[in-house]
Amino acid sequence: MADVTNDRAPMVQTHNLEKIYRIGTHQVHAVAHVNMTIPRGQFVAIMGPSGSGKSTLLYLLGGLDHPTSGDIVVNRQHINALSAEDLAEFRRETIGFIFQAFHLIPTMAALENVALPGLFSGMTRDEREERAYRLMHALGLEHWIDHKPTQLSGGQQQRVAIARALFNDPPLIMADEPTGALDSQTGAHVLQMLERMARKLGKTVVVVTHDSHIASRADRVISLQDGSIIEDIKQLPAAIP
Amino acid sequence: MFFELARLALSNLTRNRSRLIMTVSGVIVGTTAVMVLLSLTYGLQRAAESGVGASSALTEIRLYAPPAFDTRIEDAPVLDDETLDELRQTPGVQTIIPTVNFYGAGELVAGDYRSYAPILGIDPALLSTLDLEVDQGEMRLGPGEVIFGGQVNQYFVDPESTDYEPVTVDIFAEQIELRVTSYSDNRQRDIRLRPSALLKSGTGLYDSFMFMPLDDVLDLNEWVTGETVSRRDLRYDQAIVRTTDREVTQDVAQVFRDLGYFVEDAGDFIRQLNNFFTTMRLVLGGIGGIALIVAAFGIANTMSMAILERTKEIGVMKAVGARDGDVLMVFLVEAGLVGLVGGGIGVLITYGIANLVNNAIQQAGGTGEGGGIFFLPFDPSRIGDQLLVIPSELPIFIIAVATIVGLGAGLWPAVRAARLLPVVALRSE
Ligand SMILES: Nc1ncnc2c1ncn2[C@@H]1O[C@H](COP(=O)(O)OP(=O)(O)OP(=O)(O)O)[C@@H](O)[C@H]1O
Ligand SMILES: [Mg+2]
Repeated sequence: MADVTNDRAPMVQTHNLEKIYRIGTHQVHAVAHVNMTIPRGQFVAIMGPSGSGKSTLLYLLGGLDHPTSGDIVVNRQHINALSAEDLAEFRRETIGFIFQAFHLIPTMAALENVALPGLFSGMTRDEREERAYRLMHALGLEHWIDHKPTQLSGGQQQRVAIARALFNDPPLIMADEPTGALDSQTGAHVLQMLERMARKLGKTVVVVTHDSHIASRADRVISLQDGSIIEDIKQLPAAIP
Repeated sequence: MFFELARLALSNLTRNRSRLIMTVSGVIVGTTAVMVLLSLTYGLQRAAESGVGASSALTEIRLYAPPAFDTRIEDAPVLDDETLDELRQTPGVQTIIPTVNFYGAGELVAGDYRSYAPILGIDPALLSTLDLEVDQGEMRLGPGEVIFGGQVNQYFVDPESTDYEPVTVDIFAEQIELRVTSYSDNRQRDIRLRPSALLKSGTGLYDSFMFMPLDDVLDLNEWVTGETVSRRDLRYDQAIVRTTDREVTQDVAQVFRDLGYFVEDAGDFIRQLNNFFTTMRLVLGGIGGIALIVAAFGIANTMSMAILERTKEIGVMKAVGARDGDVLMVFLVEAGLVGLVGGGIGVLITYGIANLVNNAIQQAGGTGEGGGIFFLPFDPSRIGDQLLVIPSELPIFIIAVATIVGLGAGLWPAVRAARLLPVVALRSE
């Protein structure tokens, strides 16, 4: 029973999701009454002007932030109701995060960065490094294993960060402007990797982006303004040129 | 998992070397200060104890059997020849000298003057084991002879006088008599005492006692009480135990206490000495501890800075699944390591200082002048060769304290780091 419903249950579902920041008496509705459903395996682009609440929405969905009100169900888990401990497990097992600024740990070599999620799931060092090595090999990163982040280009760093996001094989990948700090060519490479995750690995991918090229490759483009969804277009992704 | 996180903490430690060195230096200064001052108190205590160690009081225990009429005590232990032979087998016991009390009043008569002194009957053959020091006369106890405690001669008073001014009697020149009274018919008898020795005054335990041969005291008791006790059924009133070493005295006393005997030892004196030095240790340790507290603030500051610098990393760790406890652990281990390493180095430095100081003392003592260390309140020869004494458990204690100080100082910053909301950490600049 679990397997069947598991496949049909949406990956993400929100109900009246709201995030309000108070600055003095002033209120900012960073996310306002968002209702959305993302089925499994969908490649979703979230677009919108700066300050429209894209990052805030992504952090809420990934369990990195608490909503002011509303509900979030991810992978059949009601994440508002999770304890801090369970929320950590949720982030570890269910979500892979990719950030615009890569956020690699500067003192760790690429391999250790990729293996970082394994540190908190109780894997031994050998297990971690073995899996990280295979992952980096599969992503064509085997040459950079011993490099520190500062010894890598932006594109290489982001690919290492993608490997890290894939380390625990989570069903949901979230990327916040993953190509924002990259030139168009390396950006295209990162985009290819994200597409592969959705198309080949069957993962659900949610990408916040300003890049219309990325958006054109998505199954669906959600546009935000002032924290609300103003447009939700499902499309046939453009063919790979 | 703990070791994995600890390894991460260790590698984080070395990120900012100069800050690490300064923080650890603070701990080193603090622990060294505490440990040097503590080892000074141990050195002084040793010197003080060696000053009294010569006194036989520290190897002496007095043992009493509970009174036979005390029926509350079942199987009350007794002091007879058979049990004494068993007690002599107790580890740490050198000899046991049983004594019998004279049951009369022990009134002494010297002309117009009177005094009282309790009398102990002792086997003359065991007299030498008592370590008594003679002031006048000769250490022997033939039949009819009496050894006077060092102050027995000093407190004679004239009962007719109004001021009761005590006078000292020359026991060898004056005629001294013991006035004994029979319980049954109040008959009185004066017995001429033949002093064989007057003990040195001020030796403590026996200043106001007199010793007589055991058989003489038994005869006197028989006359006073009207009861005959055969030598075989004799129960002694008390026994003087001499231990092999003053270190074991308290342990031996405890063994006898556990057997049900009433025990008196010089433990009180040792306890007083210990109390004094415990107080001294608290005061000096506290003074050194101030440096350690300053070091703790250093650690807290360093950890706060480190956490501020690494806020983004904390966000990343949480984003990939770190629990609050994992983050707490990483930073606590880091703070604890600062304490541990600082404490370890402080201990090593203290050993170095102790060597230097003790060598200097030895050399100053070796010149025979002793003038080099005039500031010490006692003879350097008493210190032996060690002013700073480090008991074997002290370094462990110091390192443990330093580690706990590190953990304590790092606790609040680490808790704050652990509680950071991931989004706040990730968005921080
Ligand atoms: N901690 C905060 N306190 C107050 N206001 C905040 C906070 N974080 C975000 N905001 C506000 O919430 C709104 C949404 O911010 P968010 O970062 O989600 O926008 P964004 O769409 O990701 O923008 P960008 O494209 O520039 O990254 C903005 O108006 C922002 O100022
Ligand atoms: Mg953003």
